[in-house]
Amino acid sequence: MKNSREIDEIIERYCFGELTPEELRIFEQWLESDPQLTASVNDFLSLENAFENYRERLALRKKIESVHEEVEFDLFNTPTPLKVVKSSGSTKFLFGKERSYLSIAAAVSIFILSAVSLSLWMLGNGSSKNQNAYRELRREVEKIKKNQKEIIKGINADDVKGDLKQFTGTGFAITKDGYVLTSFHVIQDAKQIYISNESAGQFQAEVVYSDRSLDLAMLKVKEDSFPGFKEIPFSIKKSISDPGEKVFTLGFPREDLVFGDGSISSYTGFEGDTTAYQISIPLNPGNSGGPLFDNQGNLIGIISGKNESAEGASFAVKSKWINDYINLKSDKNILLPSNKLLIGMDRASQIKRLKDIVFMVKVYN
Amino acid sequence: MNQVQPVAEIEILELLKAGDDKTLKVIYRQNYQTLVSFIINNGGTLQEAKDTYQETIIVFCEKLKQDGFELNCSIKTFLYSIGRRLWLKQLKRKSRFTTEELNDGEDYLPIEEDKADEREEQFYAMNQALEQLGEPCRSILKDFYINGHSMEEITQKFGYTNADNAKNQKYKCLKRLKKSFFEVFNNGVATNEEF
Repeated sequence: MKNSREIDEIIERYCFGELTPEELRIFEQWLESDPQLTASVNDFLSLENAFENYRERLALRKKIESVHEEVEFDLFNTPTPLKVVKSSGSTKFLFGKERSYLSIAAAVSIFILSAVSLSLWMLGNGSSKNQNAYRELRREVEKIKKNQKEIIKGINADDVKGDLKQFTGTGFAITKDGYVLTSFHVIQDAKQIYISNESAGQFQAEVVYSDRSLDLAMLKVKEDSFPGFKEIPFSIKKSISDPGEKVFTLGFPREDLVFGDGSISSYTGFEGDTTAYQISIPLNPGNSGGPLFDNQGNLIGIISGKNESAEGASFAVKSKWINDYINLKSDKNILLPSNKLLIGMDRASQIKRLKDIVFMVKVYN
Repeated sequence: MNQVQPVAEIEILELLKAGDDKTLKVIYRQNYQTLVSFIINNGGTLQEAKDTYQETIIVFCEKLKQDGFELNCSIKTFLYSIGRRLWLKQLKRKSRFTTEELNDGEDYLPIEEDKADEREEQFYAMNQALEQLGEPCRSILKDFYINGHSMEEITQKFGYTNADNAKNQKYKCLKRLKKSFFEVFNNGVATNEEF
C-alpha cells in the first residue's frame, strides 16, 4: 500500500508523461477502478493548467508594464503651449513677444536681485554674531593625509596641490545636457568638483556661475564622453508655496541617496530671509544643494541649511529665486525644465524617476 | 445598440491581433485615463487602478485572439466595459461593494463571461494562493512549476541535505497550495484557515 505522498508523486509523473510503459499500464488499470484517483488526476491537471496560465500571465504583465513605462511620459505630460508652436511664422511672432516679456522680467529681476543681494550682504555683515546658529549643510568627509597625498602627487603632480579637503553636498540636473544646480556653499573654494550617483556614474563638473547671497551655483559636466542625463521630469514652480504644504527632498547625507519629508513651516527663512522657506525636514550635513519638491513633484526650492539652536528648523531657497536667477543670466544653453511627469504618481514612483537626476556633489579644495 | 464600426478600428484590431507593439502602445495610452479615473472614482487606489487597467488590456488581447471574435462597439467602449466588470469583480472580492451601483463616466456593454475571464480568475486564484503560502513554499513551488527548475537545483538552492528532503517539502507545499487555490477559485475568496 502506498502513502499519499507516493500517490501524489505518481500522479504528477503520470501527468508529466514520465511513467515507464510498465508503470503506465498499472496506473491506467488503477484509474479505471478508482474514481477517487481520477478526481485527483483532474485536480492536478487543473492546477498544472493554472501554473501554466500563471507563467504566461506574468510574461504578459511584464510586457504591458514595459508598455506602461514607455508611454508614462505621455500619460502625465501635458505639453506647454510654447512647445506646440512649430510653424516658423507663428514661432517668430511668439518668440518676439516672449523675448520682450523676458527682457522686462529680466530687468525687474536684476533690480530685485541686486536689492536683495545688497540687503543680504549688509544683513550678513551686521549680524555676524548670530551666524553660528545658521549651519550650512555640506559635509567634510576626511582630510587626506600628507603621505597619501604625496603618493598621488607622484602619479599626477598637476592635479593635486596642497592639502586636499573633501566636502560633499547634493545637486540635481535641470537640463538633459549636463547643467546641475547646487548650493553656493557646497562648491565654495572648490578646486575640483565631481558629481555622481548610482545610475549615471561619476562626472567631473565645473562651476558655470554662482551667487553667494542667494546661495546658488550652476555646474556643468565637463566631460567629452558625457552621454547626457535622463529626462528631467519636473518643472520649476514660479509662484510661492504656502506653509502647511507637504514637501520632500532627496540628498546625500551619507554615501547613499536618502529621502526626507515634511512641510513648509514658514514663508521666510533664517532671520526673516525672504528668499528662503523654513521647512520641517530633518536634515544633515550633505543635504545642502538638494532639491525640494511639492506633492506634485514640482521643484519648489533648494536645501540650504538649518538652524542649529532650534530643532527641526531647516531652510530652502525658494524656487522663484532660482527661476529669476537663471532667467537673469539669460543663458541660451539653459532651457528650464517644464515637464509634469510626476503629477499623479505616488511618492515611490516619483522618487524612482528622480533618483537618476539627483547627484552627490564631491568637492576637493 | 449596435454601432457601425469605423474602418480605422478594424485595422487597429487586425494590427493588435498580429501583436503589433506600436498599436498596443497607442491603445494603452488612449484609454488609460478613462479607466483609471473610473476606478479611482469607485473606491480604488492609483495602484489598483493601474493593475486593473493592465489586466483589462490583457483580457482584451486574449478576447481578440479567440475564434469568431467580433467587436460591435468602439474599442474604447469595449475596454471600458471589460475594465468596469473586472473592477466590479475586484470590489466583490474585497467585499466592500455588492451592488452594481458604480459612478460611470462612460457607456458600457454587458460582457459575457468567457475563456478569458476564466483565465483571469485562474491567475487571481493562483496569485492569492501563492501569496498565502509564505516562504520557503512559495519559492520552491514557483521554481519547480513555473520557472521549470529541476529538483537538484532546488535541493541545492534551498540547502536541503538530500533530494528526498526537498521532494518531501515540495509535496507538503503543493498540498497546501492546492487547498487554497481551489478554495479561491471555486468560492471567489479564501476562507480563513481554521486553527
